[in-house]
Amino acid sequence: MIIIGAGGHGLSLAYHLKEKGISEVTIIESHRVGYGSSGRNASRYRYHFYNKDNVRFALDGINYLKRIKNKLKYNPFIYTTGYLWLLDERNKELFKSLDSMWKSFGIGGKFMDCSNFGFLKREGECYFAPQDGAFHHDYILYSLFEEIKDSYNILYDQVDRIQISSGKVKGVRLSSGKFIQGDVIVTAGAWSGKLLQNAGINVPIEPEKREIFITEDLKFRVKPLVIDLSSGVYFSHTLKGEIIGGIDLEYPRGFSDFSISLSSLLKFRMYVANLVKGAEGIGILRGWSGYYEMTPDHSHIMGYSENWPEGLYIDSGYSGHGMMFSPYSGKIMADLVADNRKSEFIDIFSPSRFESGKTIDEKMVI
Amino acid sequence: MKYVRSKRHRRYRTPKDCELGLPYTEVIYKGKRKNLCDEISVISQSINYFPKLKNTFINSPVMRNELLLSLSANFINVPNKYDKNINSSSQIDILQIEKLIIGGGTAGFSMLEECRDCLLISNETATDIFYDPLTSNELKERIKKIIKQNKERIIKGIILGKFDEGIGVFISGKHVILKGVKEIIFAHGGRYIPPLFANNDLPGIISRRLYLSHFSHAEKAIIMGSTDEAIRTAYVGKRKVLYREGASLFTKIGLELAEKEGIELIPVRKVYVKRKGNKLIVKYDANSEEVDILVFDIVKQPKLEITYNLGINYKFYKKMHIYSPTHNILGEFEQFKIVGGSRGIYDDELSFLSSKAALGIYVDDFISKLKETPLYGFYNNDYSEIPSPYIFDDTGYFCECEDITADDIIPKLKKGYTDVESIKRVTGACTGKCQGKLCAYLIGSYLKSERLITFRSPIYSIV
Repeated sequence: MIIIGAGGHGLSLAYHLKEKGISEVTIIESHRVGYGSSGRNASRYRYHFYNKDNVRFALDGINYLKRIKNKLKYNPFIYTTGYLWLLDERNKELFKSLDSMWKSFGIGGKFMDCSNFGFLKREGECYFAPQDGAFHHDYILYSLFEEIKDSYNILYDQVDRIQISSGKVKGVRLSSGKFIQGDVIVTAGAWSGKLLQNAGINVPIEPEKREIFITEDLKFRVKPLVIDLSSGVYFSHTLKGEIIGGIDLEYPRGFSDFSISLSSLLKFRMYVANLVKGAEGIGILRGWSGYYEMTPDHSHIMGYSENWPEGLYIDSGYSGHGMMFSPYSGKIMADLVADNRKSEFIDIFSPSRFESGKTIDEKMVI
Repeated sequence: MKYVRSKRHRRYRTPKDCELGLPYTEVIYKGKRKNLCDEISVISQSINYFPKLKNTFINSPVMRNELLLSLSANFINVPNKYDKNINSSSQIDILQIEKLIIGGGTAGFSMLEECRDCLLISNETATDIFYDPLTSNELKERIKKIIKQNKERIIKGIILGKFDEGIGVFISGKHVILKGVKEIIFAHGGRYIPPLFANNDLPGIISRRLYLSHFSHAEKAIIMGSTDEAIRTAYVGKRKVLYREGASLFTKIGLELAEKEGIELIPVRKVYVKRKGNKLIVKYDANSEEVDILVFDIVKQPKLEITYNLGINYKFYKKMHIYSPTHNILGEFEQFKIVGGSRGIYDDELSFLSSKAALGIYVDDFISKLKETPLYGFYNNDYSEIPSPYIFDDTGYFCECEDITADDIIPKLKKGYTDVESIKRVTGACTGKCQGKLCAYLIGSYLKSERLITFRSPIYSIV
């Protein structure tokens, strides 16, 4: 079997294949472990999605994330922080209806005055979802990586083309000229759409650039992830003292430089300074960018399509929330490709939904 | 206020070098930004500290408990508040510059003298050479004259790095984007990376720069370093030079100076330091000495984060253990020129000449002088290797901002992580206040890693 991409999803799949005793797995990575979105995200998890299928997936996925935390070599720093939305008039109604849906899943939150959060310099109405939390992406990635690195072949190379003939996947041709034979699972994040397109298969996954900034160290106080719906800014404290976050701006689709904008950096600094007590004069230490992997319905794509050549699978397109699901998705995918055991989510999130029209319609991309 | 306690281990720390952006220069005290370099001193308090939390403990099942994790955030020593900076704004100004010189040292001013349509941006101006008595007065006077005659073309500013909008600079309280830049001359210089040994973080262990500017009068001092520059440093006060055995980069000129001045050069394998009252006890191999100051001047490492951030790749030059930006013998690379310390040059006159040579002036003179230094091999496919000149023991601090020690890093190396980026991701090194301006190079040299980390924008924190 060939896994394309050594990010959270590729490594987790490999980890679970190894648990099943599968040998002969090759992982192809174009840069380094976690080079794409897995190493560039803000490391938060949430149950709170707009669509019920995504909520159900999150319930299973995050429970799984929590279950494996003691099995990992590195401490993944998983802890509950909550998500805190600063509401404005335009979205109060929406959150009321979401709250009743979320309650039906046992993950209801609370409408409360923002002043209940001592660190926040904002009055008005807030919605607090206490169940959500944080982790450390690198420690999950490297824990998975260390489990598989001596068992599986990891090639640092580019995939030139996925080779298909007579309705069956033959393997992949690499930039170095090498040909690797086997079934192919694409876990290449933002690059997945492009990779499959080269093989003549249309999967609607597009990169959308996003930026993240971190501040200088400040004594821990911003425990929940704060999302200000009026400005689009979101941020939270890390356990090592930085405030990490970004702004939901209009970013163009497509591949671009991993650079950042000075103007959004200054805006982010200003929002944090205005919203967090004690951060009035805080500085920005570093910024970076990465890709959201966008699909038409803002929900991920996993499994395969009936119209695809045999032996081709995908697990990708998680917009900005892929890392938290990577342990669970890797497990579901391993069950599928190794045992042909199909989780219900394999059907729900199948790539064929774009042809059949059974899309998932997710509106909460953070 | 003369010192701070470190983030995790609560060790006493003072600046080792006053370069902008290096650890423990700017600190936050009761909400205000203070520069410890304004009242620099060496403290004499006894060393007490928290037990060092090793990664093994952090990764233990106990520390996966949610409550303990949340509490752990309270045990790190970080500022409680940042007072509002009244000048802070989100406005961005535009400045048109066609030819830009970054850095106001010997090489930068030498370039400014020739390039009449260049603007020079620098945070400080030529401080280093004025402190070195071995630099000729002629050169010092010439630099002073260039500064005086070109005042209107010298801008005090800080290069913030590359952004979507262009190159960002901080100039007199404003964020500025440079537009229309066609040519950049990198003359921002190099720095001295602290070596590794037990207690290498103690106050009193300082760079050559800080020694020459503030402490050259110390009664007793020892210099550590591998190049002729260390001998020049030792000349001030007639000190001993310790260098890592097998990592001698001294040239005939340096050795003659040492001989003439009676400067002892001692190859050592292991160094151990501890503090005793006002003094440092320096043990090297079987010897022990009490000093006021221990000075490091190992090799001059180009401030690579600036060239890298602005798009210039680099190479690990194993003969000197420096990471040097891509450039040819004349300092050219595409539309860029790289001169002086930015390309590893550590001799003032050679640095001055390097800017001339980059413009095709005094080329033969420059090349013949360059040939006398170990830098020449960089242009000559010299693949010889020395052991890391920084490593005097397998213990000590690699990263002072985040308190990452050899005990954290060596087990990761044994696991097979042999590049700085992976070490960064599995230990948290290079993620602190200075963003890897020291530790990236030290870890790189220790691992013999071809690659460092991605030096991201902003290069200096933006307030």
